[in-house]
Amino acid sequence: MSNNKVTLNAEQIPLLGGGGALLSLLHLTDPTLPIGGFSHSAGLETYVQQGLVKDTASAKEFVVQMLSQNLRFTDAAFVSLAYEAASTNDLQKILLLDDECTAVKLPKEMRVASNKLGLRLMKIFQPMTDNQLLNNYALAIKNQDALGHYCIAFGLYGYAVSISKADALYGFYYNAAVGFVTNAVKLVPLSQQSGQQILFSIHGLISELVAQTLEPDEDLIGLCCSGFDIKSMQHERLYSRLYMS
Amino acid sequence: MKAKLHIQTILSEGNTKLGNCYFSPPFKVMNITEDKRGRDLHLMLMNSSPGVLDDDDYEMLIEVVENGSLQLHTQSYQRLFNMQNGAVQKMTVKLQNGASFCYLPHPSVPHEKSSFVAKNNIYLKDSCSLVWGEILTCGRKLNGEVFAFSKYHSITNIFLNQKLIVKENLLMQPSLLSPNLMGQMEGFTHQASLVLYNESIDMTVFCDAIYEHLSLQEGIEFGVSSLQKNGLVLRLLGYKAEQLYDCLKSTAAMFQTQTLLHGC
Repeated sequence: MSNNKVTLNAEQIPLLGGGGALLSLLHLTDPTLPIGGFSHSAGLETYVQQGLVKDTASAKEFVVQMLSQNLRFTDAAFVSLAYEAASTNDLQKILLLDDECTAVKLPKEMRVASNKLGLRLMKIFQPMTDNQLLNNYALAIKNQDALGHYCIAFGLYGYAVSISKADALYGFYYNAAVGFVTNAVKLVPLSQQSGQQILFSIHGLISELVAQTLEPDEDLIGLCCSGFDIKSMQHERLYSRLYMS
Repeated sequence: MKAKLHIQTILSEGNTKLGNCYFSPPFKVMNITEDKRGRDLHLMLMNSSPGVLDDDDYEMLIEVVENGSLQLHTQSYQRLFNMQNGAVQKMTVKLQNGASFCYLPHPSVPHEKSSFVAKNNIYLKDSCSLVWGEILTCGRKLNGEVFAFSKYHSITNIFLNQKLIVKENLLMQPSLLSPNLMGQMEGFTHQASLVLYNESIDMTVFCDAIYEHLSLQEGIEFGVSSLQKNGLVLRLLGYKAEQLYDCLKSTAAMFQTQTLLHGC
């Protein structure tokens, strides 16, 4: 184990098999983790108010396209690259990734959501770990040398608590998908069963996306999704809003 | 064809003038500044070729002197012709402290099987002002060429004092990913983006002004949002190149009025 890995500062009870990493993964990707994920719709609220997402099929389209066109080339790619940078203890690379993440998130609400979730995630996990790289990232944020993003913090913690990169990405995509589905169920609204059907139907997609994100093509980082960007920007001006993004 | 262009500016009594200027065919640069006593230098970037051809490799470097102001104009729509290997264009813009640069090129029209990669790097320093626009059409719609091009990939990085602040990464490969999908162009055929940067303008207020201004337009979808610092981005989807071009020009004109009001 390299110096850059940590054991969670919890009670040291032996865990069966790979249980330690699995528990950490479940904890990190728990949709009820109190970081405020439930308050962000990533533009879905605009789609619903404009009548573009109105049933199970259109909700699934939103989830699928969000995962495969947006997250794959932005947040999930940054998880993968931050994980890689953590494995070589490369703070400089992490700070560059943080800049790049800020730079590609052009709609304000997407950027603010990523920042707020990231800061909350670090607030919860940092006291429980004692990892130099994570501490340095937190310090850079405090000194305003970095903004702080959820996906980058996620990649760093994933590595620090010995989750494999593929598992971290499975968890990241699944957590995002659950968030989109939960929001769709509330907003459209859909039945709980329809929401679960969407989740079942994208298992294969998530697996493909994980494979595609293990080594992201850096030329494709931050690919523009004009439609998603515009709906996120329009969300800033919706007359009534339940969500922050 | 390999072609190079290098424009430098100088400042003379507070006015921006053309300094060293080098270009190889098919490029030409013409000084079209009407108000010779004005602060801004207006240059027309001309191209003797009918458009971008297979294997074209363009490299452009534009430098704006401290406190200088350059508006670079294009002459006509940029046609990207049928290609086998593709064409590349690299554009670097370097602004010194207090410099401003405006570039709102005519829309790009990618013909059937064209393949084009553009890389733009813009380096800003303190107190700079920037207008940067881009419009991409679906192709020659009236000839039945709707998204018949192979690839259009345009990466624009904007750095402030060497720190990346904006990255636009527009990739369209219609045969691999339908532009009509949710999250992409959603049934529209034309798209435009505009980045504005200026330290002395309250971008939140200015976003409201742009929103009001463009709300009057019909047949477009748009969004406007402020950047992390001192800037904003505008995205538009529509069906007509001229309309989007007019939207960008009128928005840029509002911006330039604001920059004058704020004395920079």
